[in-house]
Amino acid sequence: MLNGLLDTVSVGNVGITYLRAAVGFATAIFVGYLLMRGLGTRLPRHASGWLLACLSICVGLCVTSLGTLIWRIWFWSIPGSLIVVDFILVAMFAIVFGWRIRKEGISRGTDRPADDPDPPRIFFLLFAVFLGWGIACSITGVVLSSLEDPLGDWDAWAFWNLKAKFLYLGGATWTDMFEPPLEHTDYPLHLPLAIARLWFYQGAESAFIPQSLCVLWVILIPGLLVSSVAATRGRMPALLAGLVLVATPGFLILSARQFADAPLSMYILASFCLLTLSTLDSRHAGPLLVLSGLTAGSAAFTKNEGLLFALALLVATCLFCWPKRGFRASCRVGAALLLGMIPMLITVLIMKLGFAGRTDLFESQSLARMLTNLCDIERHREVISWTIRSFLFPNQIDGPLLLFILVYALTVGFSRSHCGQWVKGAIAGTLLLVAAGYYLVFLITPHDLSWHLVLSHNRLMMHIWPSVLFLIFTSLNFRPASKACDRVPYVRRTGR
Amino acid sequence: MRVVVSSILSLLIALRAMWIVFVTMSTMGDPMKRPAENDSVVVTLRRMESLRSHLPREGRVGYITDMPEESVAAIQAAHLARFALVPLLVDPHSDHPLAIADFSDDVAVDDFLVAGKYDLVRKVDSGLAIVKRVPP
Repeated sequence: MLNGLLDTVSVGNVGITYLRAAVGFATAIFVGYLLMRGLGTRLPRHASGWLLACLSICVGLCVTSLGTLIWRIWFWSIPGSLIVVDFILVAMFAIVFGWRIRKEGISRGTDRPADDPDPPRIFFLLFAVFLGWGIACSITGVVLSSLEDPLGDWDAWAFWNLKAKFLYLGGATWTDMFEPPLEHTDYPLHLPLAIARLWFYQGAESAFIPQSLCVLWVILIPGLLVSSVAATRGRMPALLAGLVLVATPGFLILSARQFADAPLSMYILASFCLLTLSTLDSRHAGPLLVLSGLTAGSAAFTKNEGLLFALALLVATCLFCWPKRGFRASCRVGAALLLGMIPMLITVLIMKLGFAGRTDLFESQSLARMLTNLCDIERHREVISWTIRSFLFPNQIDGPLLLFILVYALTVGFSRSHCGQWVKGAIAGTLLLVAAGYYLVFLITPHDLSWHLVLSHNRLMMHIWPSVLFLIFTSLNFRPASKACDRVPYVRRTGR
Repeated sequence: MRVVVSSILSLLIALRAMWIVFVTMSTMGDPMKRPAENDSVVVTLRRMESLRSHLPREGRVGYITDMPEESVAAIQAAHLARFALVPLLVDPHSDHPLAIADFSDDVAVDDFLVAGKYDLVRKVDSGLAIVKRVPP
């Protein structure tokens, strides 16, 4: 792998520096694991290994990034203090985990859903091999792309890795990254912090870290989708969902560019996954809802679009929960989500109000102009036609594959009896609110509309695509006669 | 019947997915045909990195180029200079005492200096120099 930007990792100490980066990454996963277990998270037992690993990485990356920000502000001048901050995080969550084990014993997880039994073994193995091959091809594609463009695409070196370099090399002047003439100073810092943190561990800046994160996204996002669908519906729909995701050219291309869009789509998916899991076992829903809020907050800490998502999730969840479970339960769910979001939202707000410049969408135009743009029929027509056409682009989502899924969905139908129906409404509602938000942004954009559409439309679609697949494959009816089980935990349904 | 149809469809989805993954992977990059060392971004970045040892580590410097203003190449070069020289802030829009002169060749740099607004501090690469603003 190329050391890219500065080649500061000399041949002699390559092994040690990469080992140090690996330790930093392993620490992040461990922090995520301890936090999840410390909160008392119970996952469906049959899928808990993969799911726990994927969620631990998601949660660990965002929590350690927050820790790195705190360290960068107050303790950066003390040598070796980043490791102390990480150690404090590990110790803190380990104490909570130990207390929970003492109080409740080791969690065995919840029992499996009964509606979607495993497919015939040969069928399952065939699809598992297909998925494995697909992920291997995706990794190869990302590595080839990294060898050809070691610095990633424009936004990677112009914004995300630039900020990471300021965090790593900036010393006391790291806040210069918020100063003009630098652009997009309002972009959140999660990805730059994650990269800079591993550079600090590595003791050098190299293109290897952002490249490795790209490889991580193409493993982690399909892994999270497969394990979460397996946890809620069964293995066969999970493998199909994973196959469709890795066969989405837009997802693969976006993951290889070193942009923040891939981790954003991961946090959106993780939020929906945790929200859905919270309905499987209502007695242990609280920790899963808090974690869902935490990952939604992490989405806001990753990209500005994540703020829209966090708000949409909160609103849609409360609105869809209310008619099914009543006002008080809806408020409790909303409060748990908000509790999880708070640390990340406060960080984002402090950064935006205290340091960052204004977003380019609102900086250079008046309210009157925005309203004029909103009422411009031609702009509506252009955005809608772009959206329709983008489904037909072969480098975005494969048309024939989309057709197969549609025919498949019409053949098997949609399940009306699976647990937590309101959650599917909440997920669909959130995705619609996010899509509506994106639509409005395109309408009011001060930039040339065609340029803006070409530049970002495909990326915005990919933010929600893994979650759309999650929604589709958890909603399809894979078994003709499944039992109604809304609000009944699996442990009860299986007679334990 | 429904189970058979859905099984065939899921197999079709899987096969189509395999094909798409393979096609996408094969179009994503061929380092044999386009080695990173020849990539314009990498070449420009290496050129800008050669300035690092001759400039202050922090603060601000200007950036002057003979590329057409607002052209993609000019914007890209300015961004790459910024990226290469972090934590130094490279500002293409203001007059600073010290500036990077990024021109097509040495003759263009000399022509620029003839105007008398800037003095040469050091030539670093072909067409790349550090210049100092002459006090009015």
